[in-house]
Amino acid sequence: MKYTGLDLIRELSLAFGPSGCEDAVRALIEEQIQGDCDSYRVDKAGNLIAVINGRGMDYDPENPRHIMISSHMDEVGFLVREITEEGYLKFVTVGGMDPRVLCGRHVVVGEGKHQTHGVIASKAIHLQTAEERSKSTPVSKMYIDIGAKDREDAQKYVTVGDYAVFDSDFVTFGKDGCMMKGKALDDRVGCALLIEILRDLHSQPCDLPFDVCFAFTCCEEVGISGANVAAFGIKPDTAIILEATAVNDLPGAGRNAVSKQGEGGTLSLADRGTIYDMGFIDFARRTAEEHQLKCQIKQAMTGGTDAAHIQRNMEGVRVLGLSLPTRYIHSASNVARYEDFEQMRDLVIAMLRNWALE
Amino acid sequence: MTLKDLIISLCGVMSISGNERRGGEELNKLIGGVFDEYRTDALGNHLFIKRCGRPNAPKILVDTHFDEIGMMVSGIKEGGFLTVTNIGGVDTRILPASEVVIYGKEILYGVFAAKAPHLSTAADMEKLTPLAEMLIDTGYSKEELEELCPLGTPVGFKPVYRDLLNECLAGKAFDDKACGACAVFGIDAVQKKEMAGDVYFLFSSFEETGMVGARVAGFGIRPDYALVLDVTHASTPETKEFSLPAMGAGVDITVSPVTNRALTGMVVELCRENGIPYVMSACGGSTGTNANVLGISADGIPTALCSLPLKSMHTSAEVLSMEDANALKKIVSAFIKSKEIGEVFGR
Amino acid sequence: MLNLMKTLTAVRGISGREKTLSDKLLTIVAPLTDKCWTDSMGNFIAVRYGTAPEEERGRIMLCAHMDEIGFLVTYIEDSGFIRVNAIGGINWVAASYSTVVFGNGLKGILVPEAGTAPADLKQEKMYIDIGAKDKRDAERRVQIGDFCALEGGITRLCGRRIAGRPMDDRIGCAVLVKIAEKLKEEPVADDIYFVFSVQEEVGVRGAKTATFGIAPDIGIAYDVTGTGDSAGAKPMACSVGGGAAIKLKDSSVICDYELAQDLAEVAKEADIKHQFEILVAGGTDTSAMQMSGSGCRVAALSIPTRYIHSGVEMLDLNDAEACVDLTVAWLKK
Repeated sequence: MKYTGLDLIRELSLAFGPSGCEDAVRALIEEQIQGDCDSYRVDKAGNLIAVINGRGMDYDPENPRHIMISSHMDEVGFLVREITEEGYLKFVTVGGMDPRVLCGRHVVVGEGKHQTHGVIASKAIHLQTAEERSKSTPVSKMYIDIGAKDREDAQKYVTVGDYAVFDSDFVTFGKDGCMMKGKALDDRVGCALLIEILRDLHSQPCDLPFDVCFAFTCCEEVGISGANVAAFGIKPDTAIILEATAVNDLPGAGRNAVSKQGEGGTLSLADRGTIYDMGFIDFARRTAEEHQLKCQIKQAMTGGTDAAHIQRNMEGVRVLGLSLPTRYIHSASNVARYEDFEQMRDLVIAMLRNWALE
Repeated sequence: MTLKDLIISLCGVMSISGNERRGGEELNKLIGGVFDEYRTDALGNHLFIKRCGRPNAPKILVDTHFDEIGMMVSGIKEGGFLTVTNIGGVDTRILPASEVVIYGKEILYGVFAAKAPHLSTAADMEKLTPLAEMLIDTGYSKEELEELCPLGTPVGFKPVYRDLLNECLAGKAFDDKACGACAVFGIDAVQKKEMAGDVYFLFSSFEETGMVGARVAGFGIRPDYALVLDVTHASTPETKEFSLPAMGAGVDITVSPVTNRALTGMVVELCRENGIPYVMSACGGSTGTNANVLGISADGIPTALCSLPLKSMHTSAEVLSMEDANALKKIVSAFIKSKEIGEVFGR
Repeated sequence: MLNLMKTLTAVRGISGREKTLSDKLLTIVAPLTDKCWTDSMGNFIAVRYGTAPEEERGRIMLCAHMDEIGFLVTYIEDSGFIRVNAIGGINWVAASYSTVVFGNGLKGILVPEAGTAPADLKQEKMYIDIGAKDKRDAERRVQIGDFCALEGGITRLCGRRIAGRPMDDRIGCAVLVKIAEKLKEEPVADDIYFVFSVQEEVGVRGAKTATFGIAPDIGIAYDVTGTGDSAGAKPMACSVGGGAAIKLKDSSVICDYELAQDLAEVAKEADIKHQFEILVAGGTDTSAMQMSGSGCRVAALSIPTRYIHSGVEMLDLNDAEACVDLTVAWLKK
């Protein structure tokens, strides 16, 4: 089976872009959307905004309506906070991470030609005490080993304040390669969705009574959210936030599964930041039913997304949260199912092309 | 092929304890050319022999263990998940969200499940899940898995090798196949007429699960003296109290009650003569290596132990220094050449 | 099989004191085999020679341990109460308030000191009451250094399931006897050594020397294994009634991979019920066989058993018979 969107997701997943350092991701997206949209701009916060203009009888070119679709470019990562005398890098995490997924992972430190490889070291099991074997190591005790001889040696390659991200390739696996694994699928899958939707609207134009503004935002993972600025600039009345959401659909999870892979995109009713627009959710479910597309309701109030910032922007924005059910997010190995990605893409396209939100 | 290439090639051959025999063919392809003879035995030990060509020459054993730690499928769950049990000392701290290879009827890929931080409490994050409760996500159905990877199928870390600074290399299974590569290069560098005896290079089995392979191989080979090469822990910030050797300082030579004191002294002398960097370490009892069992195998085998310092042992991100590896290679060459050792310990 | 088990469980054979059982087995096994002997450790060994010419015959060792867990008398109090040490892995909770039997047939009861909390049941809190009036009275019947064990015997449960003690490892011994019976009728090419080993429960000591003496090509151990099918059991893919359990791994050994696969293949062909076993805690004679002398290829066929090391070890005779059938089918191949 050939999944057409995979190459795009792969490239996006591999790009270096922890929160506050999204340049490489932005450059990659810029390259992808050039020529497929009517205009694009980068705002002062670093968000990339691409626009597909509306047209037809109901479209008011003087005072157009704006629909915003957003995904965030940034990923969780690390910042070097100290270089020890022995040449090891102490770090802080950028974005929320469970310390248990860090030990023994490969990382890349720095961008471009200054990039070095490293590993998050782990005290060998032979040397651990019984207590250590049953407890996780706090991030404050961890360090990255880049093979430096001492501080002076390390400083030739790394300075305090350098970013690092997981060094994790993009893999498809499982029956017929139905699953994908990579770092930063949260939320590069959202970025890939935006690009695919944008291309679809561009290649098969239809009479949209509004401008569709695709916002690739910054700094979602640290809660400061570039989406604030993006929404303020776009001034939408409605917005769809495409995300990767944490699922725990493992054997025995029962009601704690949150949602299930293979059942399509996950619609959020409410999370820690937002109570979503009920009418909008109904519209999404109706559209899915009409077009025989899968979608499901998220069965938990966990997490938070850019929706919180967009909803309460200006005079308020109606928001819909649609997420790709993704296992093990905020680790080196995010796992998602490609079929869910396709279902989400088709659902958003169907909604836009058959806009009937009252 | 460079030493680094051979290290990466050997470490990429799956040899989780109990599966040593499966790697035999690949092993022979990689290193068979260096030796005159090859044998295997009931336990899956691989024995390579390089003859010096003289009758009644001493039998010199160089041992490194072929097996590596890993896991074994112990259960198959609904939704395409596997449970595993450990083979040797597997560090559960590195497992959540790590990638594995499942060596079933087909080679499958898997990821250890890890709950997202969004769904965990701070207290959860302090606790480690025992291996028996962890799950591997495979993307296949239960029925497919029962066919593809039945109980007992070996599971290993996905091999990833990366160069770090200063000739350091990060990857998996350096314990102990990196030493094996050094031994092969060390033996290959010596011409037959220079050798002090016949060299028996043992790539032993089941070291990680109780040093079983070397125990019986020693009994079968009856060498006159032996050099065991294994990895040791390199010093890191959190292991200060263990007085471990610094990485890059050279080979670690162990003095212990189970190794032969005179032979060890001669190995140290060889390092001095040949300008091979080394550090000394002391072990009060068990060395945790095959030296433990070889020394008391059959009628006793005088044994010396040289170790390659390694960081993060038994993980998928072990780190070694190629400078140390080169030193280890040179020790092997000097050891099998040494006429003095041959005279003292040979028959 | 049931009658054989009744006979074998009626005799005590605590680790290091297996002689009575060994004598009993001699009477059963001698007529079925070509030669029997006891080695210096006390292992009882019988051989059935193969039909192939002598130089072509392989040596296959089948091994089950005779010994059972029990107690060693260490001290007799003025009151006549007897203090003991554990021989093997005693589960004190399972053992308390039970009848024990001494070598001379004397009986007593193993009880905890009054007021001992269930969580606190351990060796120091336990004593044996033989009903003696005082120390002198007790010493007339029991001496320091005597061995005793929980009373043996069998209870029949539903179907072909039985409970009692010591299933561990009289069931393995019974399997060996049944194999010998079948081979008497249908000989095979290789020499088959039946080893009834001693001192397994205290650290697989007997099998080590027996293997060194025989130097077999292949060794197969027969012993009980834990299961994952009792209420609240830790997950384990092995169940009572699931057939012969082909061991892949326990905490002391990793079995020969190809040999285990071969056994599974034979079971499949001969339509013998079987399952794989990965035992997380516990070891067997298998490890001793593997690393003795020049080593040999090892496998183990286990009889799935619930409540091991209690007085009510429970198993299904069909599983034991599957072990017999599988071994015979494999030997013929």
